[in-house]
Amino acid sequence: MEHQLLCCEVETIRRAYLDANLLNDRVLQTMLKAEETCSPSVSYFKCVQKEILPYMRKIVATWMLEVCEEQKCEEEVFPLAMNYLDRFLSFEPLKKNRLQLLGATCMFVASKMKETIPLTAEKLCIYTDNSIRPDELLQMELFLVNKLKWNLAAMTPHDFIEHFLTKMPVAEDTKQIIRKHAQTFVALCATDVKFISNPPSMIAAGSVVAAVQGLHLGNTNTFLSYQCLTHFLSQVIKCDPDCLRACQEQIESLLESSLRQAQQHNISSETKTVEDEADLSCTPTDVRDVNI
Amino acid sequence: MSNVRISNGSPTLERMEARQSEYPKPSACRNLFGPVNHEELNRDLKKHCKDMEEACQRKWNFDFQNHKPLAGKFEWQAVEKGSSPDFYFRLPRPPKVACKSAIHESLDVNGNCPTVIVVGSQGISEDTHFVDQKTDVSENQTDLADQCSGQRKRPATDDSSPQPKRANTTEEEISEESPSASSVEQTPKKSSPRRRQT
Repeated sequence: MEHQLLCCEVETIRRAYLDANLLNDRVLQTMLKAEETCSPSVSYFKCVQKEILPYMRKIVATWMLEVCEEQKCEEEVFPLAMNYLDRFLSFEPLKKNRLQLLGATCMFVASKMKETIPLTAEKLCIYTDNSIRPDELLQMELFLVNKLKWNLAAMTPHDFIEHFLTKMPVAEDTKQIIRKHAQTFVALCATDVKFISNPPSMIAAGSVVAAVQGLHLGNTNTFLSYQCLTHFLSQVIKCDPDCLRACQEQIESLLESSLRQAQQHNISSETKTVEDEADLSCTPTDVRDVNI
Repeated sequence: MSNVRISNGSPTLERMEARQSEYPKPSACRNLFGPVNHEELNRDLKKHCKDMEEACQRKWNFDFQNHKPLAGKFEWQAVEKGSSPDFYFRLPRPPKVACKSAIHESLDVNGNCPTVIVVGSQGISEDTHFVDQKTDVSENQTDLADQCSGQRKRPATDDSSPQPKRANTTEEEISEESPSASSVEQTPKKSSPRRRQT
């Protein structure tokens, strides 16, 4: 018996309960102000970078997300790491073949900020196929945090989602599903260049609306009806409802295009590796379960 | 739709499994943008590091390498050891294993002496008070010896054999782990608020 108990303690994550004292309006207002100070420049591909192009950001972001998911990082780690990456690239021109080093370093720091057992430098280097060394990563870390002026506690959309859910008169289990779907949208947005210009609060609100829409929750609950929810959330984050709607539509079309890509990838990989069944098991087959 | 996964290994509703020495899957281990020139990279990183050091030195007019104030905007002033909060100069937290055994030992003994013993045998403990006293004195032997005899007056430290040992280890640790702890602390002070406006 004792052994079993010990096992349980080691294997599951012990999270702190949500602190009701931190989920109030005063904190939310401060967060809305704070998110402006940690926002990247929208035009860094044009103005700062010489070698790095938008499609390369997509490549490194997709890899970072894969690492974060495989390592079971907390959900906020990936968007926070992308915030670091964009902010660094807003100031500092970088060589193309160092972009992965930057991505790994951003995950390294974001993981330290958000996790009790952070990712190790050694593990991250393995994920780059050992193209970088741990000591390089540690030096890069110092360079990165210095360039970010040690402003590392940037707001993520996840921080806002909790506030929105607290304010929404919805059942707890519904909230949990909305949260999960919205978080997925947030991760998706962080991989896409188009969303750099949107502040975390906007991405969070757009993701919540898109999640509610995708789950068809608006039909049964009047508060969750499209009109009502967009109006409510645009007031919470103090933006124009049209802006929010545009963001949410952008999220939905991004989901659609990435699903199409995933399916194409699925079909091609299935035809390629018919004999290799082991490989098939790790292709993302369940994305097809999505209905919008 | 709750099965949406953006990439492989996406969890279901909430991540509940801890990271357990999961070895990276080969599929995710890839070099994205070609080989890195390590020599060039190291040279650049070193240069960035040097630039940062110089920028800090300029910003605070303080030579961080040699712990010496320089002439400039800030007027650096020596401060008495006890006047600043202890977390500025206490030893770093011990690793978890050592910490556990330290607690065990201190629980075994009554009174206020166990912490003293713990510091001697474990090297480091959370007893900041003791470290506080140690860092107060200058590094020379006689002061440390005084300190020891002072401690011995406390009740229940009847066994005198660990005493010299303790003095040795703590001295070593102080010089190893916080090289600046023995010197007086210095905190920056703006020479005049008016100058800052210019």
